[in-house]
Amino acid sequence: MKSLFQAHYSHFLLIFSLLLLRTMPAGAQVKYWVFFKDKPDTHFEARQYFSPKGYERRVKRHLVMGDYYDLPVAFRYIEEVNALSDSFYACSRWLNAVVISAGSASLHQIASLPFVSKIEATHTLKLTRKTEDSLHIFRIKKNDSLLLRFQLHRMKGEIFRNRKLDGKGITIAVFDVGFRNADIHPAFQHLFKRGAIRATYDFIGDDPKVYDRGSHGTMVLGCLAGVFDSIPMGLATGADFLLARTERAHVEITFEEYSWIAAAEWADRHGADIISSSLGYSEVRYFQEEMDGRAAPISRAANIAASRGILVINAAGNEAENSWGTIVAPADADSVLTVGGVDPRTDVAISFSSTGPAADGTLKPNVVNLGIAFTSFPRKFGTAEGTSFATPLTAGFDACVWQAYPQKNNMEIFHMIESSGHLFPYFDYHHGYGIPQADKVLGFAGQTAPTFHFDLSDAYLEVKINEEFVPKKDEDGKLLTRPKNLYYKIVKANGKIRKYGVVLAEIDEPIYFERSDLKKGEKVVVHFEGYTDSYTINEEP
Amino acid sequence: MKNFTLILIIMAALNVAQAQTEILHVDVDTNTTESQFGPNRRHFIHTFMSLGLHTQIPANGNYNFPRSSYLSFGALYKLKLSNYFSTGITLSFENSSIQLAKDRPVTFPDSLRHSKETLDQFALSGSYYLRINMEKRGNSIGKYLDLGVGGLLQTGANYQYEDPLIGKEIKEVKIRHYPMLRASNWYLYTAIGINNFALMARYRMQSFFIDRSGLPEAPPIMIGISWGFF
Repeated sequence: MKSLFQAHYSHFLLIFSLLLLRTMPAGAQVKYWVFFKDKPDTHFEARQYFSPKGYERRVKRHLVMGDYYDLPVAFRYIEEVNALSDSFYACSRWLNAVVISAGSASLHQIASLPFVSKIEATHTLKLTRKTEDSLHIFRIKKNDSLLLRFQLHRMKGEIFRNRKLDGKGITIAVFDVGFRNADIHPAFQHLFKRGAIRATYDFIGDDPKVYDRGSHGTMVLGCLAGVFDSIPMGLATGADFLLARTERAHVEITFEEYSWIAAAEWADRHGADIISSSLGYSEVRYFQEEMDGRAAPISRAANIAASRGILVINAAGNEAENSWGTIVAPADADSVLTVGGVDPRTDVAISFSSTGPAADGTLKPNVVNLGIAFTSFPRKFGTAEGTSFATPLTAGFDACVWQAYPQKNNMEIFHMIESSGHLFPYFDYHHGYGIPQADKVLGFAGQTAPTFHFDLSDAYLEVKINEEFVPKKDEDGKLLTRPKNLYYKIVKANGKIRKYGVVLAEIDEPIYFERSDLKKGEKVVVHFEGYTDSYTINEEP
Repeated sequence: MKNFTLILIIMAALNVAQAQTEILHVDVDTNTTESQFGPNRRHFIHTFMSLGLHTQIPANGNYNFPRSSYLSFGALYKLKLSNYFSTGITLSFENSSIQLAKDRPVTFPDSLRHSKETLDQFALSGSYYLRINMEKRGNSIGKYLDLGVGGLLQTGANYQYEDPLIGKEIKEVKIRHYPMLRASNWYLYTAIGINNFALMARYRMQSFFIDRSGLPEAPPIMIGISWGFF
């Protein structure tokens, strides 16, 4: 055995060395965020940094200019770190950080620089197909036509239309994988005719062109501002747009997160009021318990964007049916309006829509919208599934609200959107506050009379819905009216939700909660047909 | 993480239902327990399949290199020690099929020259490995280097040869439970991988044959690819 080992020892070493060499370059390419302590000797010239529109936005919204986040990263710091690193990838003034790669010795030197506050390994490249929205392309059929009308009607969008609220004066930055053919697509000709596409940039390819690759952005833009046969597919047909390509299709690479952050700073510079992002990052880079708005740099940047007065809207993610399950970054950031998806046929969370809460307990998703929508594809129109499309539908709604209430700041609009949800003040971790409603946000919705009441017996807490909401049946027992959804949750004494669900109220029977399942101090909260009430358990069963 | 129960009852069944239908039910407490199981969690187990070629450097003319192959199916257990290190074991069932070259010196297993000669070994194999990951990542396997040592226990060995007869007829002779191969062996093992896919190399530490009957040693190196199913 020994002689055999000696005879082939060199062969084994050769194979091993080859494998090691194959691995080492990957190790050497590990990228690091280098965060700095301060921004000394930096100067901010607002009129130089911002585009005229960006400057105007800051002034109009009474936002400070030249604060810590606006100041650039100290040039001296960049130079010193750059000199010690192998490669320089990105720089963020919001995070006061740069992204570099360096060997361990150099990294040690960088860490010992007096102005470096911390170094974090970035998350690595993973060659994998990402979870994608399902794309179902159909010819325009009756159902598509119904969906086209329903997707805005579900938000009572016609109320905005009647008041000529179409997002005019609002600038929306859309971050996506590209906007293939959007420049020649009939759905967007009204935007190009009036010069509504104010700027474009491909942060992956470092190029202003965004129309030659990636279909997803074309579909997302359709749900924001596209039109089909003069019928709007989104509510923001009068808004202005900044289109940024920050994502590659089919693979997840670290650079996408830097691109998103760079695009957010670019959007701020160009005066974006709203960022609509149907992108998200999950298990390739993070754990579920890191979805707390602090672990992911992109989530921290999203919160900084919100601090710059931008309303950041992000898709919850399409992860509910896989092992990840929960929301994705940056939807975990507390200042990001996270949008889940519902099935337009049932008004219940669609099976793939990521659920909350965030890892720190923050309510997510904040609101929901249709997870199946009619929209534009690069060469046609059709329906598409995904929280990606619920997001621009909501962003269009938000643009109209901001147009209606220009004096409000971004977080006031954020809370107005939440409180306009069709379930508000009820919420749960599948539906948030529900689908935003135009009449509620504009103050037209009246008080809803009670639609049910509670009855407590020895064995049950019963929820009895009013007779007029019991579906009618014909002589054969066939339903004549559609049953309504009753949403319930059981809230513990400490305020945390223990259980929640949706019941289809289809027969003239109460909904029973077993007393034995309800502890003292717990509260049963029920929402049914616009009315929310609760019952607190005051004694042990 | 959040496994929720979603029950959708067909509308047609509603007419006969005697209770309200719950179409969504989520038990938050039981659904938010942090998992200990996953690609980059404390424990992970998955099945895999490997394909490889037996070879050596420089090439040994006694074996038909591209046709001397390796196939295995097995399971891998991974125990996470830290973000950068993990360890574990593999268990697999494998087949090594070594095809003898036609122009070799004809001494094994006899002096007859055949048009095709193959040695097949079936074995149960187990290995212990240390895994080094190269970077921070989420709940994914990521890029890694495995260093391991393993052993195999032969469960069967066949020798077979073929000779052309008249026309297209082929004569096949198979000798089962061929006794000339070593019943157990051990090897060193290394692999580099990214998520489900790995390039692997194995170096056999003992001779393939009990008695080579004058034939040079079989190739000690196996290089191959492996797919993890998860």
